[in-house]
Amino acid sequence: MNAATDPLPAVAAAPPPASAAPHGARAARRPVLLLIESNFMLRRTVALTAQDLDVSEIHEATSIEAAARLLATEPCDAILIALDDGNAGIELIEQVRNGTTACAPGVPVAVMADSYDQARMQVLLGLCIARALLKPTKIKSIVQTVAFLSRATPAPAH
Amino acid sequence: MLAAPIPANDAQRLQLLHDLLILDTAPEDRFDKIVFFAMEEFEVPIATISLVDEDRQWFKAKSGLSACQTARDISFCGHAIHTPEVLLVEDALLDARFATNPLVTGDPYVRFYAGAPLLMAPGLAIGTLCLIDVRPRLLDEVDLAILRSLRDLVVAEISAGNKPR
Repeated sequence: MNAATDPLPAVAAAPPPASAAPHGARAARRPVLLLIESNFMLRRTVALTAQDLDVSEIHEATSIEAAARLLATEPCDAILIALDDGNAGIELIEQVRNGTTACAPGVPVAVMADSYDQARMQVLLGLCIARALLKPTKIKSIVQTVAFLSRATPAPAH
Repeated sequence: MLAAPIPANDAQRLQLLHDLLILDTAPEDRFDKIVFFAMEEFEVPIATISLVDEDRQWFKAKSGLSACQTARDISFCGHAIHTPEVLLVEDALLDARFATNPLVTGDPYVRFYAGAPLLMAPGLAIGTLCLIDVRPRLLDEVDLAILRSLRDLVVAEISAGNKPR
């Protein structure tokens, strides 16, 4: 493995910690959060830390395209998505809100981006985004956002 | 000052470290990136990946520190390799083990230290990923979890790139 490159497949689920409940123990099921972030070290550190703190089970996607393929069949309880160049991230959130993925349309969603102009903020507000983080940001802030999303109530019907 | 104690299994630990063929190798981007990442996340002036050899600690990656190694007996990391948990020294001047340590009373004037042991096998820590500050600091549970996560990345890098011979 090399921290400079990304050894993971485009999507990956973090292995459960030793203390995790066995399959079938639905009452103890931790919320599943899909983290979509291309930066390996940032994404992996957030996933490991959330797992360490037993905040959430993190499924990782290295790109919007990989996340879209995953969401076509796999539901999740929350989504944290890095909005890189282009509108692909916004379009994916629109698909979620329109109910064309395996997720509940109101699933809590937070975003991370290098900047937000007024037009983009209006779009995000219209998509009922729960949090918007400005990059660069601390891992701690992202982990706190993961914890918030794991407890958040679903967004109203779109 | 309490000199860094020698673990009972030190010969086995040193054999593992030497078999990795990582000591005295050139800096590598994959380790430097983790150290820089840790410095930025925790806003500390010094972070290192320190490997505890027989008589020295040697820095595979470092930032904010000019020395490439120090004596093992005065090293904080020599203490940190004794347990699987993070060794947290919030204020070295208030800790009898370190208050008169030359790394505390002189350059680099360590006041805060947090070292996550690099456990390559149960009971065998070859060194630490550590954070150092020149002022007292506190870390909360989230901070400690982040440090452990970055440590896990270091261990994964060593495991992937330095198979014991």
